[in-house]
Amino acid sequence: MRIIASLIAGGLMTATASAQTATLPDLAAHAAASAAEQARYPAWSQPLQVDSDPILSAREISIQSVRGPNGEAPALQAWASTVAAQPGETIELFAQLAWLDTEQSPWDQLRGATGDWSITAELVTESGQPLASLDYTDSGRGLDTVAGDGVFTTALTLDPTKAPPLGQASSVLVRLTATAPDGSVRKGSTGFLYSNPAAELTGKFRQRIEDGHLVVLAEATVAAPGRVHLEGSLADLAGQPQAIAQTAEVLSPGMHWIPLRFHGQLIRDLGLVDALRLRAITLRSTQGMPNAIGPVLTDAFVVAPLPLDQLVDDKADPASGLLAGG
Amino acid sequence: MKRTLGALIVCCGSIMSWEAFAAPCLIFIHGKQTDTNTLTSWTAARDYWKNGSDDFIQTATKNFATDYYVVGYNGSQAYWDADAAGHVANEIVAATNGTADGGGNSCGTTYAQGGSFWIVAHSMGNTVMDFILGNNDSSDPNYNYNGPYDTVASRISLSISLSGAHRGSEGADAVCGQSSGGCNWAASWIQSCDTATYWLRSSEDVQVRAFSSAPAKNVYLTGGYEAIFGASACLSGEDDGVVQYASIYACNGSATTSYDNSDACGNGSKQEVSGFYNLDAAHEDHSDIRDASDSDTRRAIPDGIWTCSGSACSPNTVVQSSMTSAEFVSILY
Repeated sequence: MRIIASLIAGGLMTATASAQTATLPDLAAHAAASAAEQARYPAWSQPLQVDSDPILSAREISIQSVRGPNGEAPALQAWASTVAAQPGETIELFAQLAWLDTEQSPWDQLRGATGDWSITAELVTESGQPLASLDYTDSGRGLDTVAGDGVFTTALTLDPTKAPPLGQASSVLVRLTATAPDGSVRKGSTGFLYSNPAAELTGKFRQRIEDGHLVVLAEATVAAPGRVHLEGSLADLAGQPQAIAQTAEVLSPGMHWIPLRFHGQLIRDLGLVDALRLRAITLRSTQGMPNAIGPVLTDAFVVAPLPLDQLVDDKADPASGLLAGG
Repeated sequence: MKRTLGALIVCCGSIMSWEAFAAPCLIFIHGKQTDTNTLTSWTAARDYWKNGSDDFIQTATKNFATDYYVVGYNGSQAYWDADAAGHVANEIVAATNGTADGGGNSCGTTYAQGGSFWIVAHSMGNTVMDFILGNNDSSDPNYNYNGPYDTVASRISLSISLSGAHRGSEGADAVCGQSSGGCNWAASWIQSCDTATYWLRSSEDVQVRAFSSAPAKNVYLTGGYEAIFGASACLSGEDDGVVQYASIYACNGSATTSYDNSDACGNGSKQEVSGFYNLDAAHEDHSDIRDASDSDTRRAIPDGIWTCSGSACSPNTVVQSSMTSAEFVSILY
């Protein structure tokens, strides 16, 4: 079927449809308007129009599920306790067998049918170098909190002698094999980042107004020279995300106060006159891919109420020029 | 908060002049490969978009009436690799400068002359674009990592995502876990856990969103929901036989959440805080959607682009009974 497309008033396009008449808005106009809206504030300081904090969301774990032959149940599900772990840190690894396309919770049914499964894992680096071999347990001992709940657990304390160079990270692939007494096998995978950032936040913060912007200063210790990336989010005291900011700097070893700027006009526009929570903040080394991601600190600082008259105001002072970068 | 395409245009459309929206030059970026063919051979990159006499680019450009440029890169490497994101960024800039691709096709109006440029990317091509558009500013984590990302972001108007692997593929999880599983992955590009596949898993440590900020220009999302026998049984929720909806529609939360046409994540629940917008869904599989070989049903999805009688079409409504994604692209400009 050839499509009849025409521009009509209001920037709408019409396409024939057998089901009903459906129309399309002008995509170019939408993109241009969206770009103009986004450009109101610089890339380093943007408002948040979401319900969940994006820094925390990015650290939520996805469960990897691999089904049996031709999609048969049960699937082998696997996940790690964190996206990135550092030398000396203990990372927990979890697995379970699950029926994904039903509402049932059939672990008892599964065990009744096939008896206890065993689950093992081989950990390898991205280049294929073996890192560890692990056995999962559902015994309720050690890190496995509940015996027989169907969630198998194992853990690995990351050997500092096998750590990536300072400021770098390595992806670790976890290859799992689940075996039932009857010989049924499921294989799956998950992963995490073995991260060795060259800089870390101390947990100390300060605030000030500088050039009309709110600046949250984050103290960091730097062990090796290189580029770092700092990202933080503000929420109101009720926890609703309001703004996010980021910065990148090349730092030398030692103690530093890294300035994270939230645009003054953005603070004004959002009417953020009351105290704010530094909801989440994280520092990473960005000297290569993958980045050496650091932990997220949550609710580590409360920003005192801001003097709005000290913040840039593009209505009162057009020369403050939002797009000039403040 | 819901953000719809229509609302923004009502808000701001009046300030846009029509001249700004003359036909763009379309820049095509292919998906994952199992070898380096599309890097070394432009013909291989061009053929990616063909299936016999069916030709996505011919249809999307209205029988070549619209200028276009075909990018080739090393689709067997990680999305962030110099031969992937770096090479793609350089090619896009070349296209906007009026340089011809390997087949002699070029954008007739350069960026300096006021030309506009749209990206049309398939599968892993979108993961590459997420990395480029999310690292274009000096405050981003991997600013200009291995190419002129800032120039790309400043010159393109938007990117259209065809079955993008924004959150990876569960197929890659299976292959890298050495699961054969009877899932028929051999029919797709994830036959082995090569470097590209490794970095297209759904595990968070390899996700492009972990290494990027929100895209500097909007990414518009469409995808397929036609199953591939064997493979689709191994994916969560609706899928195109290779990539699950949570990834195609760049959803926040778990990369393996089950979605369908009725409940695909809306524009306020994307992998980044801004810049991702739903278009619609097509009854095409992962291959059909990039070679215009299956003119089939299109359906509305939450916060999607189609309007029915003045308001957003209800999710899962049939909005077209026979239209390829190539035809769909051709009526978007």
